[in-house]
Amino acid sequence: MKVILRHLLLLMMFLAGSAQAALTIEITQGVKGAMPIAIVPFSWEGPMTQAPLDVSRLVTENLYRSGRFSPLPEHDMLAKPNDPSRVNFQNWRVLGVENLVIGKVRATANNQYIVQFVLFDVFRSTQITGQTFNVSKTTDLRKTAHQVSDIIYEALLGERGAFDTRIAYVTQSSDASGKPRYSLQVADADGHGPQAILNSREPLMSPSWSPDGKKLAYVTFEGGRPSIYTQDVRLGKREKISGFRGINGAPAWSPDGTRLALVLSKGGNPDIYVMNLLNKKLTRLTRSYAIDTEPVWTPKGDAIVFTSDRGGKPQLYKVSLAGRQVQRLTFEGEYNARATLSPDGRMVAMVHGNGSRYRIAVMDLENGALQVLTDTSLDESPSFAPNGSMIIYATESQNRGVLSAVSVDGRVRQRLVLQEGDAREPVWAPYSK
Amino acid sequence: MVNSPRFLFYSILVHVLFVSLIVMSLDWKSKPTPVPHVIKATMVDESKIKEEMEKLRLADEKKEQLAAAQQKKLDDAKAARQQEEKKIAELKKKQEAERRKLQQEERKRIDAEKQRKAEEKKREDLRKKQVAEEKRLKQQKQEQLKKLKAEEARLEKQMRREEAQRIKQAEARKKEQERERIRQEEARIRQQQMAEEQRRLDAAREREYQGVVDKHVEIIRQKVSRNWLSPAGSMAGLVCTVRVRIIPGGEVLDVQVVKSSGNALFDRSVETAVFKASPLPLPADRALFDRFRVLEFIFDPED
Repeated sequence: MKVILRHLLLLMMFLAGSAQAALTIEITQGVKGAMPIAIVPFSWEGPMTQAPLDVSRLVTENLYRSGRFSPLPEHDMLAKPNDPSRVNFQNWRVLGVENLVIGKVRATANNQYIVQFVLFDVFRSTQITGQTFNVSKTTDLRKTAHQVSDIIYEALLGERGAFDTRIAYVTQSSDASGKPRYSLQVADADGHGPQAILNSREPLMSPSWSPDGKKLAYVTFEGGRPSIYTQDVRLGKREKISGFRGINGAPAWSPDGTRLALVLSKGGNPDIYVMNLLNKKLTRLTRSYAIDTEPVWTPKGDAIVFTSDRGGKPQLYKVSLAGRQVQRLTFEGEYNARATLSPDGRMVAMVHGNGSRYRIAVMDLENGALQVLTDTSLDESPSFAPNGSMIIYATESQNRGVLSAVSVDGRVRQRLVLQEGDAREPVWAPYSK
Repeated sequence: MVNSPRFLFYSILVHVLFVSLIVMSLDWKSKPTPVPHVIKATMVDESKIKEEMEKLRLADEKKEQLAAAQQKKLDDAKAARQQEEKKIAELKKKQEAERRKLQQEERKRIDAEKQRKAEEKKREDLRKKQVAEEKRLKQQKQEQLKKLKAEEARLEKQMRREEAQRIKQAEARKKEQERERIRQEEARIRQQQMAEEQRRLDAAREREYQGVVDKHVEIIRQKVSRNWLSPAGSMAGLVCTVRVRIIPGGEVLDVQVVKSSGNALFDRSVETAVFKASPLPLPADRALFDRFRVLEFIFDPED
């Protein structure tokens, strides 16, 4: 007994000794949340007292809007270095800032600039990345700021940023005579620099980007009847795709760009069809007495998610292209419509109606967990950013349609700046190819 | 005639003295008269004294005549009795001779008897003496025996005593040895017990230390977890192990990835988490610092 005890003691001492060599601590949980970052205002060198665009401020706003960063407010900064040699990392560590961005904007010639920035890892005191941009005109400074944002985003999060991307949406306004005027607009992802690529007296609806980001498909009522057109965004060249009897609605480009899903009621009820864009051949995917509408493609292009009231109330369903099998996706809430799929295909965002409130929600397709992201009541038309980090959607504010973006975790919501009219049906463009 | 008065005075004084002596002798047997009488006597008349003295001389003369008559009567009686006594003495002489003769014969016989008895007594005495001698010898022998026995007993007793002494000493020695053995055994047990106690204390302290260590491991775990901004998106299968060296204040000296997750961002988030958690909360007891000098963190999200 004593011997055993002694051996046990020795064993314990041995174990304690070995544990002493390196105490092991297992971390199984972290916190989800925004990454602390500090973007020091870029210095300005030029003939004017101020830079034509506050690049660092735009970067800060971009990063904040993504929901993935929490930029340090400028007034909390202990120092505002612009040169790497002036950086004292301890200043930033005490503030809990993990990453630091410093930079300079310099005017070189008429309307020409050099933008430089460096991204530091504060705790390891190392430079993560940095870049110098030659900007050839003042209006491109904005694009440069988005590019800087994208570089930082990707360097720190390992996925591509979606700041230097565009959105399309429809606006409705009234002209001097009070007649409605519809426009199809394309703008920067933050809402800046909108450009109407189509104006119409008749309603315009359901814009959809081609996967290469060069074209838009949409529904127009020109001629009094709904029809689907595609249009080259840059060149403006249009093509009528569908003008069947009845409803021609909700076009959706396939991921490979060769097909278009659409809703036609030529068979009686609105059903989901797929059109081969090369030969215009139609394939009917659904056949029900209910309304099937708002098709979206899965990223793989092997199935389509759509809205149907075949169960009584509008819910999301999925139909595979191969077997035409229909599967109900949503069960929570009495109204789930207008699906948009995340680029990785794991999440579906939708308009989630409960009572009189229609809000944007995301559902994890693996486990069916639904999370409501917005807090307004008339939200519509969600659309995922090409990196899946945000969702742009339309909502109403003071009886006016406005566009908002929400991070997928619902943490950050921000209104997009829009110049005029009611905005509806925003769609986030894919990365340009 | 010049001295005549003095003579007269002397003569008177002698007479007074003489008379007072007579008076005193006369009244010897009577009760002494008081002194004033004596003094008065000196005044007694001398004629009276002469008369008295004449009376006394006449009495004495009568007494002497009476005594001579008496003597004559006594002398006559004495001569008669002497005659008588002579005759008796002669008779007595004869009787005496007779008696002496008988007495002689008797004495002879008694002497013979005496001799015989003496011889007998002599023999008896011899015999008695012999017996006594025998008895004495026997007694002597017995005494000798007794003495021998006593000596023997004494020797034995002494031997026994010595033996007892030896045994006693041996026992004492044995007892002392036993005591010594017990003392050593007790000392050994005490030492063992103390060692055991020390081990117990050490174990208790180790347990206590372990408790403190465990507690701080948990606090550190929580602090690092709180500071770990885990990357968004899927982290399935991503595990990163870092070795962290810290200084006594708990400040993180360096973080070294010993086993990468293969995902640079994940690894970086891990390193940042440890740095951000610096200083790591260590036990107040500096003795425990050694256990925390090098820490290994395994970041293995449950996700």
